[in-house]
Amino acid sequence: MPIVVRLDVMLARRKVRSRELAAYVGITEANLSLLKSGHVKGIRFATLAAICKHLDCQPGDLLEFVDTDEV
Amino acid sequence: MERAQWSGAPTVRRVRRVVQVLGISLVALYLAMWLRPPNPVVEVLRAGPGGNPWVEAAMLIGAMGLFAALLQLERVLGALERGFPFTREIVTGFYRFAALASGSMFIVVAAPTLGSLTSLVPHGVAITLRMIDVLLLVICLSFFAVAALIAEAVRIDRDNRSIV
Repeated sequence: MPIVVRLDVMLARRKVRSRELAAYVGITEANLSLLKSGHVKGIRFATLAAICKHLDCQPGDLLEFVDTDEV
Repeated sequence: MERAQWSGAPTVRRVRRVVQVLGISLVALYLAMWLRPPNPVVEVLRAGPGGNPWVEAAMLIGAMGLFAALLQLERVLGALERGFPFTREIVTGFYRFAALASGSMFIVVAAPTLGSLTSLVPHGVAITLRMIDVLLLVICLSFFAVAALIAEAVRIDRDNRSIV
């Protein structure tokens, strides 16, 4: 998957626990863990917006495009 | 992954009861047919007096297939009643039901023609089709389309659950 999720980095920077973020966003910790590890096919705009609001960041801080063809 | 219970369980429970009654009735009908041959209604079902054994065998195989199809449908409905409508178990079960029902109906539809082919009296082959049987066969075949739709629903459900 060329889209890499950098959520764990932002969580560490903001010193926010996964449990707290999951509770704020309204998803399970299991789903947040899947999102952090990149094992999801997509993310809803509502979820992304809630994460950005809680972590005070932009979607670009959480998602990164890595061109796998150039590697 | 967490999944919500679906709301159709009470309806499925009622349909399941109907299927159970139909299956038991089918077995009872055929037992009555073989145990009490003088019954005139039974004689009609047995392809006429002194019926052709090939036709009788075909009708019996058809009835057994229909019973197996009902059994399969009962299992599918049982799985539906327990919880989640979009699972691989339900898809494979529904495909099996469609195959068994269609196969049985095909045998039932073909039985009179088979009787004509295997008749001891020399005459031309008569292809006999009853409209109601053909209609039932088409309905049974349409269950394949329903199974394909459920398979697509399973795929969409799986995709949807992997979006957070």
